[in-house]
Amino acid sequence: MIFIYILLAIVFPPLGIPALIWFILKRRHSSTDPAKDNNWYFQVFLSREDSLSQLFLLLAVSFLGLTIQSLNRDFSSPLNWQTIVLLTSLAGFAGAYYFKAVLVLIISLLGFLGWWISQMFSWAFSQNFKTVSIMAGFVFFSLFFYVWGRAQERMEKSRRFALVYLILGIIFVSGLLFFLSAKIGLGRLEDLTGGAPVWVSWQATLSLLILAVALAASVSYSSARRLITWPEAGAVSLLAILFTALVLLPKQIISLSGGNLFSSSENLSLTGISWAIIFNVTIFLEILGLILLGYKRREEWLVNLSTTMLFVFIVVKYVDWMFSFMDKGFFFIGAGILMFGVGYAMENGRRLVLANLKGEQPAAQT
Amino acid sequence: MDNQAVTELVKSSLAAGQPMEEIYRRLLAQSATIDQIQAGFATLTAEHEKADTQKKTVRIILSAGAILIGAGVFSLVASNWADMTKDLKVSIILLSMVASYAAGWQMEERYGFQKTGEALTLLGAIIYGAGIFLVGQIFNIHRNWPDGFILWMLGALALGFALDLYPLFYLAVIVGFIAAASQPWVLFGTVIYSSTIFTSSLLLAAATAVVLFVSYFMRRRMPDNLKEYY
Repeated sequence: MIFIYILLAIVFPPLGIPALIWFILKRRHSSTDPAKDNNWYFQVFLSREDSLSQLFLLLAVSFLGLTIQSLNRDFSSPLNWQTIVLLTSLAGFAGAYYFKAVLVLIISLLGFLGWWISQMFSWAFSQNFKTVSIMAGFVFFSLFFYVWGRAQERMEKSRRFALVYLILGIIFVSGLLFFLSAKIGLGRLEDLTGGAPVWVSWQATLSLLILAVALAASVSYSSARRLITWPEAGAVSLLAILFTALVLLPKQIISLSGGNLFSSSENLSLTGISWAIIFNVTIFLEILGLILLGYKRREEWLVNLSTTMLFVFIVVKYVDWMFSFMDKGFFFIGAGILMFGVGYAMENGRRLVLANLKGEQPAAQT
Repeated sequence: MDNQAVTELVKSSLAAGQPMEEIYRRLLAQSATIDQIQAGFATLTAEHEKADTQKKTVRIILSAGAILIGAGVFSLVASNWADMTKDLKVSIILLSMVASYAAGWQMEERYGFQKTGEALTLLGAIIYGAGIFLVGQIFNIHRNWPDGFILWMLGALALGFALDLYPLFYLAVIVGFIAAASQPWVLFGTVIYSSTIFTSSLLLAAATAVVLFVSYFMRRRMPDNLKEYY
């Protein structure tokens, strides 16, 4: 259930963030004993003192960023805003790991990603290379988060952090694939793949190489240590290869006449159809894979997250494909029936999977 | 033995701190029946519940009365605010803050009403915060308005440490986030909430250091059974 709130917070922050905070505070246990609660690591706060410690640390990181910004202004701005965000994020990382503060880790990760993306964009605008390479780098980051999360979850103390990395990794990759599988994303793909190759900018190239090497090394290490399964390693590798291909390929002509795909009269070219199939099949297989993985690993949270994503996928595809073609009245009737039917089937399926999981789990130790 | 005598004996035995088993044994030895003893306990329970209900009702009436008095005082002050002298205004702010703190202390320490005492102390902290902005308005102090929230946060923290009261820390968190969010952030090359007056770097640095210390302090206070998970 929390994943719906997280998705809402990402998609529509003004409503989603307060709703997420309310949900976390509502389900906060008055005191959690990790020794007795196997799912203790799902708690953002383990105690009242923990909640205050994390909130004040988050406040400290915010004020640190503001202090650096203020000093920067006092000394005639020698630093740009990206550097301030980077410094603040790094300080946040240090604080998060020292205090084991989940909230600060999430904000620091987002801050660091935001810094990297903004830095890449500023290089792209000055050197005019393909901005699809920024998307590829984002995917590398997300996949690395996933693998890193799997690597950390073996240690009891790191399980909360591992969950953060896993969830962020899954949501980022899935979100991007959702975007690219829809008309709006396919339309943008043509612009993103236009421009000079990324290696005209040594900074961007070096950055992507570091990310790719880090991802490859982490996948190899995790596979060798059996921290991730071979199907997981394969899926991560395939996704990385897919986005690497996008970086290396020339400009992709997605629409027939070169116009934008928002117009209902605009049709996909053969290349556009191919990419549409690739992205839609990829996101569908990814979601199915996550459901199976959740079942195999006996991770209820993963089953819940992936079934939620499957529901969103079906609804988004229905809207994306049927909105232009159908009479609006029939469209909304169909949407309502679809939501009822899919929701019913999904909930039954989810409960069946979770019931099987619970039935297969060994009896709790007393 | 009649029911009234059994009930009186149960009442006196419970007041003396005797366990239930002992009471049952004594009364059975004095020829009381099980039904009589159970009826005696049930009568006492009903009397306690009635007393609790009466206490709750009184508490609700008193709270409603206090809220109405507070609303009346507030309304009176607000409607005559513009006509008051500066000295009177500042005096009202200070007196209401001190009165709230004093009442909170009295309620908690002398009368044992912990929740009421905490609520009154929290009210005093809120009046303190409101007082910062009112004093700024009274004396036309030209500062970046988020500074008031930083000062409010620092004051709430000081009081929280002095009284070891967690609601004050939560108040400080809320106020602190308002202070941080309302500063002029520079993101994506754009200034969000631009301002011609800026908060002193010293005040921001002090706020950073203080909240970091509070975070560390709270971490140290965590229950022992949780520390091994950090």
